[in-house]
Amino acid sequence: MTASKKLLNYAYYPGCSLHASAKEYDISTRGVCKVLKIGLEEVPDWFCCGATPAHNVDELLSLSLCAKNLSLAEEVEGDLAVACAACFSRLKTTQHHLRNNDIQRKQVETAIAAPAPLGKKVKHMLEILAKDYGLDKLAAAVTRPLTGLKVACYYGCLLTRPPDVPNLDCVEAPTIMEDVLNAVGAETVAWSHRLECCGANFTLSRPGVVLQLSNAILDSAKAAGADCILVACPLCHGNLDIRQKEIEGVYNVSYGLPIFYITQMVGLAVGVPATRLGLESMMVNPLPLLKEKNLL
Amino acid sequence: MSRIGVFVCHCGENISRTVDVERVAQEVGKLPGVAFATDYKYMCSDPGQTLLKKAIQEQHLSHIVVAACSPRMHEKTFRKAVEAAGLNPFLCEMANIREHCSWVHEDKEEATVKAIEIVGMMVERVKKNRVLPTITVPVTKRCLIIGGGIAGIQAALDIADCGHEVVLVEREPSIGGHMAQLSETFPTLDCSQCIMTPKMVDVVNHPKIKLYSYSEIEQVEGYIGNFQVTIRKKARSVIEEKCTGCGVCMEKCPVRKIPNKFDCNLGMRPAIYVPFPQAVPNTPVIDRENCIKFKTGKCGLCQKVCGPGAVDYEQEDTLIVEPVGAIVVATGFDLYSIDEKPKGSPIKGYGEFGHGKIPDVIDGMTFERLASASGPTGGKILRPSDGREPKQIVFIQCVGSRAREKGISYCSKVCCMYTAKHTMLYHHKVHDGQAYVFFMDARTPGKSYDEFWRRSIEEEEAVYIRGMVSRLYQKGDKIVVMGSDIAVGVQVEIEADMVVLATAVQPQKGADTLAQKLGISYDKYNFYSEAHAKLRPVECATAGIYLAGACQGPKDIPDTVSQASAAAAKVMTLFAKDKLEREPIVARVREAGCVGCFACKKVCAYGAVEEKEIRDRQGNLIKVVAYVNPGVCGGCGTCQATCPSKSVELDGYTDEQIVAMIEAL
Amino acid sequence: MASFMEHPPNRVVRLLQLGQWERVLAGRSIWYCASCETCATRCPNKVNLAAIMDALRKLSWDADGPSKESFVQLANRLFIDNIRTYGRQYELRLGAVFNVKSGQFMKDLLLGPKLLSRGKLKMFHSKNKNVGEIENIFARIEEMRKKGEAP
Repeated sequence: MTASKKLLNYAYYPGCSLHASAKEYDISTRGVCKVLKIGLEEVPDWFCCGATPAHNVDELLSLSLCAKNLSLAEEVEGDLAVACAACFSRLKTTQHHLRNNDIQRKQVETAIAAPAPLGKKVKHMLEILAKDYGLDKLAAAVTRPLTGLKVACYYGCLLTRPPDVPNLDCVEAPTIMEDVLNAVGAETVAWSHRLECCGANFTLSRPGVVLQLSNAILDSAKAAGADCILVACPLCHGNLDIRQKEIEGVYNVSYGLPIFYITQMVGLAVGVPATRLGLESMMVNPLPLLKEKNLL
Repeated sequence: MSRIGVFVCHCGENISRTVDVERVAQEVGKLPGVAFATDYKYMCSDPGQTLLKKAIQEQHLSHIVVAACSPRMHEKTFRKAVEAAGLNPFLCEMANIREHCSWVHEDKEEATVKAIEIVGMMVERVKKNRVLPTITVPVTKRCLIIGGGIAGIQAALDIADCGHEVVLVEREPSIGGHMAQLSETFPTLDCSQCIMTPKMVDVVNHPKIKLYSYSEIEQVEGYIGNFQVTIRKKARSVIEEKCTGCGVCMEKCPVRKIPNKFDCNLGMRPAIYVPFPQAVPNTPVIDRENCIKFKTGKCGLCQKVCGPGAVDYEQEDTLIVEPVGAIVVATGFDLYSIDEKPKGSPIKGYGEFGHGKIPDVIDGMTFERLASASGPTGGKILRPSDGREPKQIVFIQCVGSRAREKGISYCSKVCCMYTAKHTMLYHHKVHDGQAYVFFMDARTPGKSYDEFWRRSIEEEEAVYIRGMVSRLYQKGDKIVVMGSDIAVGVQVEIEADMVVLATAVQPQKGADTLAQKLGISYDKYNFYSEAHAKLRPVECATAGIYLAGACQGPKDIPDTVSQASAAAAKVMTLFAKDKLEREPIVARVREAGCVGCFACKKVCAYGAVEEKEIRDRQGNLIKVVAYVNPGVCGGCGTCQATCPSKSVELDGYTDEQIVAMIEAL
Repeated sequence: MASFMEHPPNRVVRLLQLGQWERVLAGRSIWYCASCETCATRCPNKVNLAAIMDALRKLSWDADGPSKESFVQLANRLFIDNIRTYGRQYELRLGAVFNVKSGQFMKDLLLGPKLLSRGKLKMFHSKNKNVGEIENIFARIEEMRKKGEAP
């Protein structure tokens, strides 16, 4: 992709989940960027950022992995676009720590045998859509407004916390997801569990935790009248989507709430063909809802 | 030719243990200019001072050096003695051979040599001392009090009862401040307005108190004993002298739904209004922003129905200059709000509590208005959202206070007590209601305070949970409060009908602007700074300006009243003399050398430097130089250090004197 | 997550303040932290509890002592091993090996085929081209630790 043809160009770091369990996120992100003429060039040979398991038990490893990935990203022109909230959080945290801690920076530079690349701007897809591309332009690019769809925007933990690191939006009352969704014509609901944790990677080791926490989220979204939930993180998606049936069984409730990635929803609105949005691989089938709202 | 007398004190054993005082006196006696040198056991004692006075008279001494303790201890003592003996007190200096010598060294030989050198330095210095006459400044015996809350009212009454005139300026249409908004006060549960309104009426009836309500301070000029204060009397649109307070205008006003600030926006008021029925003065004000007449030119009903013809739409703000001798600042406090604050603000709001958007989450003052018999609900505790009686109320302490993260690290002092009071008021009015209080600590230091607090738990059935609240959100018509109980070690979730936040106490809006007009210091929170935290709590570093009440720091009513009376006492000390005597250690500008750069004015902490025009005999301007007002100068010497042309010197600390000391070494 | 911990977070801090860190390291509380970062966001005194939890976990991990939370530690260990071996996460392997090593053979058994058929889990996973460089990073860190140059 030559840089000159597109208005915006980014280096792209998909992260491990986007190539497997969250492939819908990757497909829809690429689809949206293609339609909006946003250039995405995947960083060659990127590897796992370590996510939560790495920083939980070995901070130096986590910082080193991310620093090396940032250093690989230097080879590609443009700011670094990240879709997965966890990867976004780790990359930004790494830059934040290394900027402020000389001793750590030296250790990391020794580990990766390269200087620590702190200059590359790391941006989440939400920022790119809302700020770089612009909400007005996004609204203008809509070919099928998502009218009639009531969406609960779920931020989860890592998009806005801890304060001073992601710097995406207000920590306790963010509106960036709602702004993007409103720009594409959807109705967003006010609900209480926007920022509560879903249980994250306990899905592997202690799924009981995930069942309890994710149930509270689903319950709150349903009570607020939402038709579906929007997420920006593969793990949140997994916990709310893949485990939804199990939650319904354990707590004897019925939700039937499809869980969408932001780019799937935006893609639907700006004209990405429905077959190229990964809708068919989701565990909670979104097709009946979309058909009902005449969005297919 | 100087005849210097040197008196070396033993200070009991304090000096003589380490310094050979007799030898010091002997050696110093040999210095040129020293006519008399002796040592004595206790110079500051009565016989010691007598020795000093006798020596001055018998030996015809011209200058004195007392080698003893620190001048901070006894300089005043010896200067008074010297003055009694007929010598100018500023010809007496102290050589510190205690704090600077005997108390910090152990080797007797070395200490003695050092002591001789110290005394020698002071001998050379004192030769350069000049006679400094005391400065007197006339005093205007009128006091300005800014702020008509309980602090301002108390100070006004105290000073006026002494026979001095008081000018009381209050920003709102009525005096009374926040105390007038309270329902019952701790620790006695007295009705707030019942104890306050008699004082308010005393103020308005007092022959010596001139009340400017609905007025603000425009400008302050001058210095202690001689201030000129310009007051802006804002236009009420009602002629005070004609108004009888009958209230017909308020009844007839067609605009009825303006949120009343006094009722924390819960109650409504008309466009022509008094903030509350017991307002003093009982003269209404027209809110020009919301009045139909002022917005469109139509209506004018109030003027038509006013019997005495007191409504005057043409009225304008007036500026009045009042000369006063002292100013008491009693501007009080305001409550912190949990609203979203602008980006980059040092103080943050509480997004986790809904940023003030949930209607049944209110602050302490709003609860007071609900509980108050003269409030918008007639004293019933009702939910602002739907008017129903709440059966479960959660009170949260320390909202904003003690939270470095939010920008306020101090404790607001009064909230533990008023929350306990709120639980009692709630229990008295809603017998089947349950109050929960989330708290960190209970701060109840006053008289009968802790007993009052215990009563809330033991008799009024409030449930106190030690732990804080992480978040609250609306669920249907209830509010879910997510907190923790650290005594038990579990998380607690309560579905409340109403939540009352004990928000932090902050200074009034505009506190910083007023401080700049007055030239007084304030801290990073905009609380006004006292001159000394322990020993001078009601005075400012700026002479003639005093502090009373919550503007200096969060305070309850007993402490506020005490401080107000204390400030009044300080003012009366000032007014007890016709002329104010000030120490003549002040800066003096050598006009010939001054180039008019005014660097001194920039660094002067007291605002003592003025501009003075030098003109020739024809009246043409030659240059503008600096002039130090001896009445305001604090004698700190910063100007002397700053002046690039060495044209300003501190009398008593001239360059000549200091250089003499250095060269003596 | 506090309801799952035997020492809620404020008690963890209190025990640390009193020097009783062995009790904390041997317990399961720190392993039930989800790293949601809410604690650091809300603390009025700006205590970065999330970072403290990370540090405690590292100490417990290195000590390899009697921590009561083997499942979470096992999951973390396998995740990191995957990075070292493949460069990126091989999710199927992660899940399968975890089930085997934790003795929970039946866990999520029905989910597996469903995810595979939708392409959400890959049967086979190829290693990164630069897996050698990744190994070097791990090796260099181990080297620094042996020499005492890094924690």
